[in-house]
Amino acid sequence: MSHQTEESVLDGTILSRCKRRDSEAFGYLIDQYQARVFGYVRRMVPTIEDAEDISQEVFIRAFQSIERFDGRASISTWLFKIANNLCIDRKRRANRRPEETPLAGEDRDRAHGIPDSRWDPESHVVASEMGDVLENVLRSMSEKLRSVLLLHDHEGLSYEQIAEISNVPVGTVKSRLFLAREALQQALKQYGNVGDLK
Amino acid sequence: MSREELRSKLESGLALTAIEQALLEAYLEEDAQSDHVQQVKGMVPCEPSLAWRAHLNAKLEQMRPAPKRWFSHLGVKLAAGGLATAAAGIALFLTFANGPQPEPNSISQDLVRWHQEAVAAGGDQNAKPTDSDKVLFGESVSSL
Repeated sequence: MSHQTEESVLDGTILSRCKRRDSEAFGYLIDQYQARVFGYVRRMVPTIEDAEDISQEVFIRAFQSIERFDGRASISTWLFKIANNLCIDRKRRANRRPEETPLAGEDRDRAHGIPDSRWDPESHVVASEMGDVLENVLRSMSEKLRSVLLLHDHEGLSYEQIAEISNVPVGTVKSRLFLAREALQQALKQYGNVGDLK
Repeated sequence: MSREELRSKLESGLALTAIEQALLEAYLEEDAQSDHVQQVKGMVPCEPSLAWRAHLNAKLEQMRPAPKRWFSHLGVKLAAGGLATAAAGIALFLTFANGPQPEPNSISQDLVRWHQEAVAAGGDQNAKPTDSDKVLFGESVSSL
């Protein structure tokens, strides 16, 4: 089921219950969005601890303010907007204190959800390398470009939704997406994993 | 205008003309099917751990309004029960107070008649009892 279809079902049936502080309904909302929100935040902040704290804060703020959610935007737009604002706040706070750099391999050691590839080690190595390259390229981008790239190309949000989340005009979203894709293509070419794309 | 020229213009922050904007949209459409965009689309999802979810649930639980204490619930229930009992009592009283009076039985009718006859007889305290008196006190007329 696509994100949009999931949302329309969720919007129609769960939102009103969430507004009445129905714990079960809000739990269902978390179930539906936790992976997307956590995944986005995880790629926007340097450490997994920050990602865990921020993504929890996203749902806490959503819980606190769901009565005021008017439904003009979709739930995903609303949640990603909260997440984006929290990531920006975190970045501002981090800029005011010494840089925190995660230890090499820290995240890989923590990743318990990686599929077991013992029976196909070669394919795992290739996929893992490609994934690592992609993650590194994303990390090397500015937050503005990375955010637009993730929201559009990974989360499948529209230009208008991203404009609402980032609080910028739609034209700016398109410009950033173009620049982000160009940066990604150039970086992947340097790694030699993509070859001649065009 | 090439990609590089467009990129340079965007990086320098200059506004695009209508033709350049159309070109930008065309490049975006073209890129949507490219390998590197597909790779971003297919990146491994990041699932939060069960511990993360449990911690979130605990935080949300703390934010919910605390349930009222048991004795306050008991007080409310007792008060409601008392009110209901009182209302039922009042309703019962009103029903019987306004209802039909019970019909007098035969003994009371005889007593009344005997009194009326005694009064009619002139209030003679020594008057012989009437037949009805005998019936009243368990004696049949034939036995006298």
